[in-house]
Amino acid sequence: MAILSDDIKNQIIEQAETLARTLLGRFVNQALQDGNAFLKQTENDIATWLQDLKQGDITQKNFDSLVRGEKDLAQMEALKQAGLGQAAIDTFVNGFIQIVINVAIAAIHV
Amino acid sequence: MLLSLVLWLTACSTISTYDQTAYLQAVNTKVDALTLMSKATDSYGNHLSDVAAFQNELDKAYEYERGRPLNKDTVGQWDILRDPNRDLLGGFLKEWRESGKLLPVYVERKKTQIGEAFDKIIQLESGKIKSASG
Repeated sequence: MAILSDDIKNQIIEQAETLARTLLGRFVNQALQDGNAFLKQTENDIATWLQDLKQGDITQKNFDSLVRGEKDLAQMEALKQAGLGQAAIDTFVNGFIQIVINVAIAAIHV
Repeated sequence: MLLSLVLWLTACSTISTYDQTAYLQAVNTKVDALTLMSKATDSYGNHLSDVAAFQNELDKAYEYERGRPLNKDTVGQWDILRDPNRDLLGGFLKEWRESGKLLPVYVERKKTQIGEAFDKIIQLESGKIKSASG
């Protein structure tokens, strides 16, 4: 049975690690930024709706619905982040496949 | 062995790829939803045909998403958006029907909130991997 040489395996591992740091690290940073922005915006929105309620522009029932709507939005945001995380993993897998192909083909031509 | 590894990894996709039709349907439905919501300061009874036409458009977009493989996160987003017992689009339409008409400031605030909900669907679709064909 044919086996891959240590040199080829090491090259694949090294390049895959670089790819993972680039792709998945960027995703984590983006997710954190999105989460912080969402929290900040929610805080501002609730302050605005409270002002609307005080002025009689919306009812208590309207206010409650707007606040509960933020919970629904947060759940949609979580689903978005989960999906984008899966897409980042798929991108990594595709890149990994390309690394395997490139390293293996390069080894044949040495 | 290498071929087996490549085939195994290729079969390991965890989420659907980008779909132009799904993207456009989400954008168009967002625009039409916000247009319909603007009418909620008027009597619900005056807009029965508008609501029915929009509901049909919404159902078509949802069924399209449900038919795509590896698409549970996007379908989950649409479920939250459409649910009449929650507080986004489904809840808004139910509230309009039950109340007859809604306050202008409330409608504007809800339009902003529901617009953001659609944006989350659109952003997820945009972030999916584009296939070689498009």
